[in-house]
Amino acid sequence: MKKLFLVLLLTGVMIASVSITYAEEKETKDLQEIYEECGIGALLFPTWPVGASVSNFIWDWGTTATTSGLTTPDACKGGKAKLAFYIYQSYDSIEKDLAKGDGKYLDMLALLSGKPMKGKEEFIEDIRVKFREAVESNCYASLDRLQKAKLMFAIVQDSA
Amino acid sequence: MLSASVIYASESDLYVEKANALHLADDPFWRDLLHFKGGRSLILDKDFFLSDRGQTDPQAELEATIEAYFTQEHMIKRESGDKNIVCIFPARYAWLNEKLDLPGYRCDEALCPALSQWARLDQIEAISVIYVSAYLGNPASSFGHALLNLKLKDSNELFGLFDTTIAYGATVPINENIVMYVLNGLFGGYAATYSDKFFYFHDQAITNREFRDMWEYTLKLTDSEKKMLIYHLAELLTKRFKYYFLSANCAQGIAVILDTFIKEDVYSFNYPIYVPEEMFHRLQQIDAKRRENKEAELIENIRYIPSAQRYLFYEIKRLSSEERRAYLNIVNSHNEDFVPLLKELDIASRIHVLNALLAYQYYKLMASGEKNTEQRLKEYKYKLLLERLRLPIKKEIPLNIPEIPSPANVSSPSTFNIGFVNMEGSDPFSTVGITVFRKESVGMNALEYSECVVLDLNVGVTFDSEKIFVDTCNFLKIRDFRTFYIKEVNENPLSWQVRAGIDRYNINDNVSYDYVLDGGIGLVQKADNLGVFYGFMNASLHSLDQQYRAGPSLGFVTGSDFVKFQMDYGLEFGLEDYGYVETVQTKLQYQINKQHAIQISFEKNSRERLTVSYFFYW
Repeated sequence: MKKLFLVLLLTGVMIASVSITYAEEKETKDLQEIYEECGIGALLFPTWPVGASVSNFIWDWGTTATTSGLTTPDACKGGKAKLAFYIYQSYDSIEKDLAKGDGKYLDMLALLSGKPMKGKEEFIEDIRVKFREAVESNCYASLDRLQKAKLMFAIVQDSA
Repeated sequence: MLSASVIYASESDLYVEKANALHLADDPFWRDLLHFKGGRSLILDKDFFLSDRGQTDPQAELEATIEAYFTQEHMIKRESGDKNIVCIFPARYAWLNEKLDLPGYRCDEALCPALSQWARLDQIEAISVIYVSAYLGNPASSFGHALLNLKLKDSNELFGLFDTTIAYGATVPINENIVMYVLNGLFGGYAATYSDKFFYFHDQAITNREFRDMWEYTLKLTDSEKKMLIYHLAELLTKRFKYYFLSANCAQGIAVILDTFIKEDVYSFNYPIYVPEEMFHRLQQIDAKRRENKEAELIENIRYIPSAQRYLFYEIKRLSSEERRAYLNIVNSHNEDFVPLLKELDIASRIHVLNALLAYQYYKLMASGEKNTEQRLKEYKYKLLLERLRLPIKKEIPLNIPEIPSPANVSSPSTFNIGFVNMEGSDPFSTVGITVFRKESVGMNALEYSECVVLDLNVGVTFDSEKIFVDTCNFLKIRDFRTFYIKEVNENPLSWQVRAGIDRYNINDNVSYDYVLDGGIGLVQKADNLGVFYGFMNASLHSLDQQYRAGPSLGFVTGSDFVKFQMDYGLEFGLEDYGYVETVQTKLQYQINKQHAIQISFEKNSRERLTVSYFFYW
């Protein structure tokens, strides 16, 4: 069952990489849809019009996107949006912590997924297993950052 | 409808009269809320003002603000979020309510849901300011950076990652040319805005990508001060100001906010140049003064946040000798099939080595940026990742990373100095000098023996007061000692130094000035707490003969926080006739305290001079 889940997940991610218009009407939004709704697709898709960057503090990220709420649309304020932003922005740190099974970025991921201290360890164990199976598949190394973040988001959603 | 407007108008007139009787338009706090300076607001956006004349007339803006409260008629458009004027200008109305007791005033979640959700007043426990160490990868951050943080009650449990962090910076077009970037930054070609992000965003960019250390100063503000500060930030987000790299920069943006809500002066617009460190020194001074007067302190605590580079350093350092050997074999072999090299280790050691290897790979990937990373490196990382994922979870004891001094524990960055100079070939004279930014190797600073001096001018005065002249001038003097690098990850260990300045020579009563551009690269070795030893290969351009020079130099810096001694010895070859001169430079600095120091320096090259100086740090 887990294998089937991963196969489906990775297939979905690969299809999404070919076209961003694949998404049909569905209730559960994936990470990319959340990003698009929040109007910060430029962060992910270089062909989108980009306004400006703000120096001194995000020299290399090139986005005016805000994440904490006041100036962002309502669609971006929910828990899933928070989780999606966090996974995308902190992906490398989460990935590293997940490999070890320990670390503050992973603890934060558990908290955002609504896992209290009690259920945290099982949650981490669960997503670590699913993540390992995803990495074991040959396509993981060829995924870009967005695709990997989408994969992680889907794994977390599935385990939450 | 008409009668309702008439009622509102008459009611607002009543409150305008009341406000005028209290001279609220002249109240410094009202002017601070409008960011008035020199007869007009520094805010460029018209939609920050409710009156057409609001940008230049605080009285008109006050009246329009009161009227809008009663009529709710205004031209400010919001695509999302709260529409009620109280929620758009919460600090203005909270203050006006305090002064005028506005009828029916409230600013709660029912009226202002978006503001309440953002402000999180019930969850925010403290305000902090964060000092970010200097970063030479971005010219705008070469003097460090400042952020303002709204700390959640359970900030520590959340690792501070979801605190709301406010930054102030220039809005720069994507892919801006570096020359335009510098020119626009220096001469006001950009607008600046306040922006908000969760702290994890900065954590990723600053500690994990740029490898900069941070110090978080948690401030003790009253609940009312905190609320007003947060409300005012909500008013300011996305509003544009003019940006100047040297003065109206990130530090000024944060300092101006603190100045509005802390009773003492945190900032004065008279500063021609303002660097982040100055704000932290000022906060420290206010705190010390309050403690002296037995008042409530300003700074509750200072938290050191080490960079990812320091984490990696100590991650490698705690490997056992056997583990380290395996680690180095794998790193140095460049062999992607590393698994056989781990086979001799037990499971726990394999985990330690893989953790360190992963930390190293992420460090390299972060440093190079995802777009520039070779596919081979990525695949190697995935192999490590997979190998580690196949081993069990192992909780590690948190790394113990020694703290390095925060800006508050060192001298202020600017100096004033007076001195006495005895120079071969001329009568003794006195000097008076001023330096905008002085961090010398022999000074008390957080640069770990490195040096950065910017805009340093010394004027000489003969004792008969007949002659006043420029003695020395340093536009820029930097020594970047690489005392902290990770040799196990083959980091570049090269240090560098550069100086652009002017030296005065008086040979047989012939005064001449030598314009110098000097640079060098070298190696530095840190000897625990003893100090540093270094060797450089230098080359320089001079306006006086010999114009092209090059040669090696050796030196060391040693001592404690209060007494430091530096000595440099070198040979300088003229590239025109290959003749050479010996160069010697020694400095002994006694730091009386953070503000005062005495320095004796001796210099011998084409000239010989002894200088005794007193420095006042401010």
